[in-house]
Amino acid sequence: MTIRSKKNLFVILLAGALVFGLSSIALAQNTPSGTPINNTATLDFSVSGTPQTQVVSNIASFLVDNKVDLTVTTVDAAIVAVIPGGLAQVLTYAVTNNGNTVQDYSLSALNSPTGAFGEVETFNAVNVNVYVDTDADNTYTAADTDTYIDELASGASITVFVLSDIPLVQVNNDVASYDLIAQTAAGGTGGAQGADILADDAAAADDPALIQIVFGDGAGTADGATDGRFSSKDGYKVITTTLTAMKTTSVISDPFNLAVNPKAIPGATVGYTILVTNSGTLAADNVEVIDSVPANSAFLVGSVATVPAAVVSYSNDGGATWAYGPVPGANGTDPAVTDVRVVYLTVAAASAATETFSVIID
Amino acid sequence: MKRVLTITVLVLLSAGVANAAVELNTVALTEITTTDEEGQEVTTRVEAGKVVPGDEVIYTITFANHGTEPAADVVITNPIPDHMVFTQVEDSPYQATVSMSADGGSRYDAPRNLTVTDAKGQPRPAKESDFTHVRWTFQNPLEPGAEGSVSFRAQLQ
Repeated sequence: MTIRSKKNLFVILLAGALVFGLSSIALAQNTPSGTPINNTATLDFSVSGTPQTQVVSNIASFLVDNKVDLTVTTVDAAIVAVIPGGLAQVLTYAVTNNGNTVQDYSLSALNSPTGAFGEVETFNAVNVNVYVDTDADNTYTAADTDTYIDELASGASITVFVLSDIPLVQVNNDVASYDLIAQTAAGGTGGAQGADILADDAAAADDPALIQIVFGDGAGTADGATDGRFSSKDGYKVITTTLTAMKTTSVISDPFNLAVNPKAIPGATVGYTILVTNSGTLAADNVEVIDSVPANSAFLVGSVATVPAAVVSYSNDGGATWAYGPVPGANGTDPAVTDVRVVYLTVAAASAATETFSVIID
Repeated sequence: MKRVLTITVLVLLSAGVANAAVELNTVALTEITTTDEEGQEVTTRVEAGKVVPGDEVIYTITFANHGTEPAADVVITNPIPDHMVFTQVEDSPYQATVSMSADGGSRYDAPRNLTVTDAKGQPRPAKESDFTHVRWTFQNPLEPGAEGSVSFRAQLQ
């Protein structure tokens, strides 16, 4: 006889065996370690039609053991951008107790040989320290001084920070990554760091009367499964500016063709354009562009234009000094100008600055 | 130990009256999978000593009729222990009919016939976590000297 219900399938065998095929059960709760689980059965029967006194079984009992299970996750959504010389730069992680017992956790930041977020690891930060988010505001503050997690309840999470200094010598795109490793330690005493639990009781005989330790954790980025530890990787990436300059030339006019298909002949006006591009993610400040007036040509006074606005100065001594004031001659040029300097106050990230000036060919 | 002694006295009393001394014992077991010398996985059952949330426990209830009269109308009832969720019945000898209760033992029926009241006050079919008791109702008498066991599985929450 087979009976199908909406969700579950029950197969009843007339021989007397009955099997329930039930879907797997989601964990509704995490029974605390040390909870006694008792089972008792009763048996009623009759003899010659007379009901007899109910028989009560013994009590089968065991204590719920300590399931050690934790996860460490990286809270930062992307690698943390830093600048050379940056102090106390913060990486943010979270540690969650998925076990059934209050635990302490020892914390360590392990220098990773591989870069976080798929980056290529290139350097090590210095003064690396780990702090717990003691004031529970999910932001590193001076109040966060604990270096281990104290008494984390079953199911609870806490934020942990790794702070490091970035050496001044680092350059754009350098990456330093750290695995935060949380090691389960004995809980139960607030304000004192419990001893690390380095092994579970897998080798010990099962004992229904003892609270034994069972590692049930998975593998993190720098630890194995069922080792009482978990880890996650986060990292720093040095972001500075990357400036590139490109110079183009065009003949604007000549004495014969004027502006129509002008040729670079004596007397022709030639324009130069210098494009400075900041492809980094930080603005570049005080960007200085110096260009020499080419040989056999004279600077056309007043021809300098910049976007954005910039401070323009001139040299008549090959760039040694920049106090020269150009004076236009008969054709508007000043042959004494040897170099033109443009200083942009700032070139924003992912933007460009353009300078143009003109010369007349001798 | 005191409780076990009390039960023994009970059993002896009933035996004295009916001459059908039925003994009942329960044990909690867990399955352990090991690899033998030939690389085969072997599953053995041991007394449940290391149990953490998510583990399944097999409760085996053994019975024996030590008396001289057949024990008829045998009904074995086992409340599902606290913190455990019933998963399945494993063994039901003597053509025992299995029924469940989802209301603390007031009503027993086939699981598919049981309902509970949901949060909105509407009845819905009972599911695994609703079961409070499992019961075996034997169709055949337990003859003198007969012994056997019933068992069910439950998962620690």
